[in-house]
Formats: sequence, C-alpha cells, structure tokens
Amino acid sequence: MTEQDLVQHRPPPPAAVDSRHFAIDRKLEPLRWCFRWGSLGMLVLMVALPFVQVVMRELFSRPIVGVEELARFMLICTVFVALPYVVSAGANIRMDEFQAMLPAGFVRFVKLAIALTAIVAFGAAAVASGIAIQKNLNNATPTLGIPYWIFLGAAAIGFGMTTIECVVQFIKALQNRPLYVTFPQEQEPEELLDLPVASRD
Amino acid sequence: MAVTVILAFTILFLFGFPVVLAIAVPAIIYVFASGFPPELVAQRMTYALDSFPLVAVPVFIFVGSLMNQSGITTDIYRFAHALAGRLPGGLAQVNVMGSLIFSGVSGAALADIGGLGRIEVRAMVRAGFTRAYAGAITCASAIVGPIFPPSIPIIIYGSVTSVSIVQLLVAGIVPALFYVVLLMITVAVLARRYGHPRSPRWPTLRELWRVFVPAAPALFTPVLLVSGMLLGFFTPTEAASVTVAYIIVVSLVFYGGMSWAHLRFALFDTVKSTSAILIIVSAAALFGWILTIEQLPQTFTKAILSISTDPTTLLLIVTALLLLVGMFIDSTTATLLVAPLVSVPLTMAGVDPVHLGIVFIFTLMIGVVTPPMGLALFLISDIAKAPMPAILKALLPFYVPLAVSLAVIVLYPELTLWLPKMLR
Repeated sequence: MTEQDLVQHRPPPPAAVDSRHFAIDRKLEPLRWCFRWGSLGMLVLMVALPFVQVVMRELFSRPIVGVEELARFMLICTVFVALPYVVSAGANIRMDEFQAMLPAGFVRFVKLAIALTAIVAFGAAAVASGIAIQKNLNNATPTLGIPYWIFLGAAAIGFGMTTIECVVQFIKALQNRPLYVTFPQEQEPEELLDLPVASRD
Repeated sequence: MAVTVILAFTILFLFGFPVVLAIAVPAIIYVFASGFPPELVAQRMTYALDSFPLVAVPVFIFVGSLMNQSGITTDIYRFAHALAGRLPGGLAQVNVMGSLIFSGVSGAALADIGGLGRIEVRAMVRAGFTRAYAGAITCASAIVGPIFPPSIPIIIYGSVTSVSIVQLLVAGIVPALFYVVLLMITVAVLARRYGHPRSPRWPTLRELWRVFVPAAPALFTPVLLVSGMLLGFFTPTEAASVTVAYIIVVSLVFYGGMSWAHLRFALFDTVKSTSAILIIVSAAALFGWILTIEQLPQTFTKAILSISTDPTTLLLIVTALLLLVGMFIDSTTATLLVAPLVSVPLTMAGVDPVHLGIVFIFTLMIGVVTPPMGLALFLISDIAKAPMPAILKALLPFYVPLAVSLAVIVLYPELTLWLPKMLR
C-alpha cells in the first residue's frame, strides 16, 4: 500500500473539534465563555419577561411598565452577543451543496475567501456600530430610557468578537484544520427509548 | 445598482457563504460606495430587531427544543400510536398524527424532524418500513408545523409585512388539517399497495386513557395558545412565553424527565438558532432598505400589475415564483427578501393579505422538501441514514397531496379565510 492509498482512504477531517483541542481555542475560551453564558442569561430573561407581564396583568391587574421594551432590548442583545458563538460553532445558515460539488482545492480557496470576507464585513459592522454609538450618546428609549449606546454597544461587542472568531477561522483555514469548535456543555444528553411497535397483518 | 447587489448576493449564496454574509457584504459595500454614513449599517441592522413580535421567534424555538428534551415528544408519539397505529399504514399514520400534535406546540418543520422525527424513523425502521420511506413520510408530515399555529415562519412573515399575526396563525388551521387528511389518505393508499405493517388491534379505552394522560398537556397547548390569543389574554409573543412556562412546569411536575443537562442543552440550542436566524433578519433589513432606495418594490409592482390585475392570476404567478425561490433559498431568507416585494402589488390587486400569507408560507415549505436545496431532505437523510435519491423516490407520492393542497389553498381563499373572517 502506497502513501497515496493511505491518504485517499483516510476519513475526512471532522468539521468541528472540542474547544480545548487547539492552543488558539484554549486561549480564547474565557472570552468565549463570557459571550456564551452572557447570551444565555439574556435569553432566559427575554423568555421570562412576557410571562411575568401576563401574570402581573391578568392575575394581579398590575402590568409592569416597559416590559415589552426590555424584552426587545434583550432580543437585540441576545442576537448580537450570541453571534460569535454561532460563528465559532459553524451554526450559520448556509447552503453549501454547490460547494460540495467543487474540486477540493477550490473549496479550500472558497473557505479562505469566506473567512477573509467575514473579517472585513464584521469588522466594518463593528466600526459602524462604534461610530453610531458616538453619534447617539444622548439618545435613549422612550419608556425605560435605556441609552442607545447600550443597544449599539451589544452590536459593537458582538461584531468585534465575531471578527476575532473569523480571524481564528482564517488561520485555521490556512493551516487546513477543522474550523469550528464544540463545547462540553452543549452536548445533547443521551436518552433510552422504549417505543411501541407495529406488526404485519 | 440594485441588480448588481442582487447578483452579488446570488453568487456569494451559491458559493456557500453564510446567508448573513451573502446579504450583508453587498449591502455594506453599497452603503460605503454610495457615500451614505457608515453608522447607517449598524442602525439599520439593530433597529430591525427592535420588534416585540420577533421576540416570539426565539421563544417558540425554545419551546420546540424543550419539548424534545423533556420527553413530551415521546409521549406525543405513544398517544399518536394508540390513536392511528391501527389505520392502514400503521406507523406512517402515527408519523402524520404525531407531527400534527407536535406542530400545535412547536412552530418549525426542522424541530419536528430533528426531535419527533428521530423517534418516528427509529420506530418505523424497527417495524419493517424502509429507511427511505420512513424519512420521506417524516419530511412530508413535518410541513404541517409551519402552517398550524404556532408557526415561526408565519410570525416572521407577519412582522415583515405588518399583517395581523393572530389572523395569520388562525388562518393556518384549516389548510393544515386539509393537508393532513390528504396525507393520511396517501399513506393509506400506499399501505394497501405495498402491504405496510400496522398495529394488530385497536387500543381499548383503558389503554387509550393511559397514553392520553401523559400527552394531554401537549394536546392542550394549541387550545391554550389560540384561545388565549383570541380572547385577548395575551399577544402571540406572550403566548409563546406562557407555553414555555407551561412546558417547564408540566415537565417538572408531571414528567420529571428533564434534568439540568437537558435544560442547558435546550437553552444553548435556542441561543444558537436564535442568533443564526435573526442575524439574517437584521442583515435583510439593510438589504431591503437598499432595494427601497433603488425603488425596486415600485418597479416590481408596476411590472407584475402590467401582466395582469386579476388576483387569482397574480397569486398563481407568485406561487410559481415562490416554488422556484423555495427550491434554492431557505424559507427565512426568502420570506425576508420576497415578502415585502410581492405583498404590495398583490394586496393592491385585491388578494387578501392573510390568504397571501398562508399561500406564501405553504409554497415556501414545499421548497424545504424539494431538491436541490431542501433543508428537510438533508436533515432526514442524516437522521434516517438513507441516501438522498432513495428518500426522494419514496417522497414522490407525497408531492401529490402537497400539490393538491397548494392548488386548493390558492384557488379557494375561503378555505383559509373563513375562520379568521369569523373572528374579524
């Protein structure tokens, strides 16, 4: 068996590896932890707020002022703060069926192009958010008076961290390593099922 | 310029760029190249998410994930099995019935396939069905999810077009039930032809009661949702949040099957899906703004109204367009980009906006089970461990109820509108 045969029969590398596998991922882990759990906390609050409002309004006849506004604010923050997590996990919605039909060399080029384009696009969005913050320092939401810079700050921080994730993916694409990472906490728990069956008549 | 932006999106999209990048890159370049202030990018993208109805999207994603983690999905399956297992087609009928019940709590086709679908395929294969057939019926039945309330695509459609989400949700009930009936007839015909297995006998009342009790909370959910919204107790977003609380309480008190690990997985799953979907909504707002600046909606309106002003003809044209779009673009992206374009001229021509919404979502959902880009096909191929061509071959008979349902929904608006009209 030649080396070429061995290479051909080697299974394709996995798309994602454990977040502790590569040194670059281990260094980023504390930062990623903040974004992951931060977005999780915001999601919990966002889900809970409308329910609390229903209970307060229907059961106690004491609706809380500004709950809708706070829920919308939490939605904005969740989406942007979770964006780096989505990118690092490769959970972005995409259609890569055409890509799969392309030659391997070209696919590698496309992956590099995607990572590079993402760095520029998310970097530009982060800068644009920074400029928007500067120009909206004195503006706030109508009911709760939440300063706009907090909304836009979530976008700036989210886009900034996403840019860093894209830089990491660009380096990994150059080294031909798996681009995405998985975390132990997000593994689905195993479950045993005892299901009813059917039979032929 | 608008043509260049759309062309750039299409090329990036086809090369496998994440949808958010395929939309955002041409849009950002347009903003910078046209000399608009750069902060406009951040403002448009942020304010697009400043919508209370959109809060329902992550909450219903969480509901679907919770259902799959809490064990309620298994109980739905058991109940559906008792109810429909004896019908010709056996577990294939159970598959359809299970999807209908699941869709009353969750609002997405892929959540149905990823959760209930795994259980259904496993059971069907064990009972002697082929993997391809089990995958095909799972795909076909999952279409009910986005039509029957609650529905994530309908909420997104309502947010984009400013059509009443409550009316849209209620309007989906009859078309969904109509499609389910056609699907069950198809399953029965196939069962007679190929001798598919089924339960040896009907369940006794005691057996039925035993499986009904654990499934009752899930069965009660759509009643709680729809009646709560119609009686004015809560908005669709609040209804979603009430459902979450209801499922958590029911899981902890009645089932006891949900651990911290299950809840944590459901939360992480929801965070990822939420950001992945809604960042596209955010980028699409910037893209849509550019199309408006370039007066594309007005141009499209003039063009389509010059072809015909007959509502049915226009609806047929849009249906054909959506079938094509749905084959290549995922339903969220398609809704965000196409709905604002087609809703104006069709409403002007006299098509009811609620009817248009249901036609729009149902047509796009056909794309989910149609190659080359059917997301449900890829997911079920992975779950059922069956090759795509085999699944497609097994799916062929199920395009008949899909096509008939679509034709009836398009040509007979009353089927969709009589229920919402009663509530207007």
